[in-house]
Amino acid sequence: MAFESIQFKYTPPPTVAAALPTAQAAQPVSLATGASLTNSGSAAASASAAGKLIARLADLLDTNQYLQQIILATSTGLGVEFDPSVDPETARALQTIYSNLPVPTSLTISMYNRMLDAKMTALQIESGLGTGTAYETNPFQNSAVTQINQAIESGLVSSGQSQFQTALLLGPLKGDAVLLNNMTAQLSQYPVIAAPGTPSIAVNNPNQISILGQDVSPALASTLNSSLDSFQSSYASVYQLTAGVGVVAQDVNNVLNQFFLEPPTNLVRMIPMLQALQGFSQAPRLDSIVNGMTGTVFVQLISEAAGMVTMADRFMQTAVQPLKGSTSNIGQMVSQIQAASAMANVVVNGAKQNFVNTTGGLKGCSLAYNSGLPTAPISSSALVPASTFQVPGVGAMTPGLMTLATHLDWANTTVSNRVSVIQESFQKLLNRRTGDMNAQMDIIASTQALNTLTQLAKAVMTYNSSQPAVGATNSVTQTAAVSQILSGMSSTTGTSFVVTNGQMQAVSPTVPAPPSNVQKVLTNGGVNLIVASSSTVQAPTIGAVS
Amino acid sequence: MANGDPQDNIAASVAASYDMPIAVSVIEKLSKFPFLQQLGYNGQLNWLQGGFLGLQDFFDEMTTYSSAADILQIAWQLIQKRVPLNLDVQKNLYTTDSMGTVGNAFQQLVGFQQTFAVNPDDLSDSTGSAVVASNLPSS
Repeated sequence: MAFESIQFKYTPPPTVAAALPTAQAAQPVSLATGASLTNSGSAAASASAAGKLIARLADLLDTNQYLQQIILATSTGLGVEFDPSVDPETARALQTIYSNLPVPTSLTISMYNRMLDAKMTALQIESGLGTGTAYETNPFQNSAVTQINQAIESGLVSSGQSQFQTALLLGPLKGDAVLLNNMTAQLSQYPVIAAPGTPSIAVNNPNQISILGQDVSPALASTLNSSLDSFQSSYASVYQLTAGVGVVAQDVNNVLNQFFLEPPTNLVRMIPMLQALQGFSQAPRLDSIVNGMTGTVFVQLISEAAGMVTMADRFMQTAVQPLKGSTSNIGQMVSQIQAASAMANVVVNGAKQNFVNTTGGLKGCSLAYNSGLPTAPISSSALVPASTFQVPGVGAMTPGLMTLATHLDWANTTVSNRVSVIQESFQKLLNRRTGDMNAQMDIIASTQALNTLTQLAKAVMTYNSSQPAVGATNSVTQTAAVSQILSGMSSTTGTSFVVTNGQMQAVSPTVPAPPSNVQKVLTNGGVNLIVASSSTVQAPTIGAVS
Repeated sequence: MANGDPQDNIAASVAASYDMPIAVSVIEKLSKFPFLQQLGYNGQLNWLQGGFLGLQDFFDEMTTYSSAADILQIAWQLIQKRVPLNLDVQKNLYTTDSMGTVGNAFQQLVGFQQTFAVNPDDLSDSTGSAVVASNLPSS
């Protein structure tokens, strides 16, 4: 099978320390320049908040790619049956994509991987083209890719087996890669990264604002870091799900012991119950997530929101915040208006200290202020002292200046509020996306447990029907019975069981070792053992053990 | 095995045949409508060749008309051997497994009037905006 070759430069030890030396971390790469930030000669760039975020994004992207490779490597030979006569629509779609090949009778995971790549590529091209363009991605090709994707996803979901459903995580991972790349590109636009050390204005040009060294604001950096923590945690969970040993497989001896002790009729009842839970609950929930909005629509939404967030952040830093602290005459006028607003919100003797329309900030603009500004047309007297509108060194503000200052204050408040909303929305979109991915993993992990439990129960029933019951005359010991069952059993999750010298071991699936920066992400995300070659399982200790 | 059933032993050679990157095709919006018209016509081409509006109708009418006189019958016998050939339509027909016989415009579904194509790997170290900007023809 011709999967992409997997190459890693670093072979990790079986157990990885909680923190890796900084020197081992991957060098952040700027998408804007394609050059390593640390090699660009600008220490300020790599030390900036934007530079650190870009470095985190690069590590997350590497982890994302690594997890995709694990999923593909463990999906060799997997797919779903395809009958063109039952599903001619998908057959037509396959012929559109593979015009020089016969319609396949199997839809493979590797094919699904390529379809997802095409889907995400089309999404990025559409975003790049924008709305005012004479071009579009080929709608026939898009429709065919979507049709084939749905056919494969439907088969994987309804398989009821976690080894197939794990491949569904390729979708969220590829969407994440688009988002992470997009966020990197947006952050690379900050002056501290895009043009470190380069003066942004002509010398002594009074009409230009210097944005030299402008960096991501602490508030946005905190928001982004928090979201990246969520990605990190999700990726650690993906690793555990795909490369670790399932919870039932780790405790297989205790489960088998109880299955041997249980009356066989109860096992007969348990198996359909476990299968019913999978069919009635897990499969429909998984289907709704896979076909939900967070898969594709959210990728586009978040990509666009990322652009808005960084633009708003830069606007705040360039125009809004500097004016807030200005000590110029107009800056002081704005401060006086803000002081008046603060007074207006204070209740004194049971009366809110509002403006009246004769002295309000927008006096003369309208008699029926409905702008949210502090004004009270029904009041008969000014409760904000007139001295509030005096500017030291300038005197009383004239109506025109008061209107100017009020509008500046109004713009300040409005922009700040909108930027907060944009940042909050962006974070909610990201949280919703990682939340859906986590829910998807919960369902697959539950299916994994159900698959193993059902497999073990069936194995015990098969054993009991062909051998004397454990504990009966001429029967083998329970340890031997468990050994016989496990040694011939390979878990549907890729976990296999080995019995050596009376000790049982659940051997995790063999996966490529993660690069050092990926190890760092997985460790920070909560994975204790990066390369767990095996998990020792104790021999049975209860029941008819000799 | 039924359609949609999971398979866990698909031959590597079979999987490898279809494991290839799918380049996304970008087209001009304006070229879509004329092509849809062409597809509409091509989609019916197989029926048009033998239907009421096609040669079958012509064949029936000419046979009836020619039976009125011997000289017409002789002339029609010479002509009718060529009628079913319907050469102009035949040369444009194309048979597929999934769609049956259609016009050969269906062969061009993927790459028609393509302005440029983007391979998913092209985006591994670049953004969609950058790729679009470098590929779009300058106006």
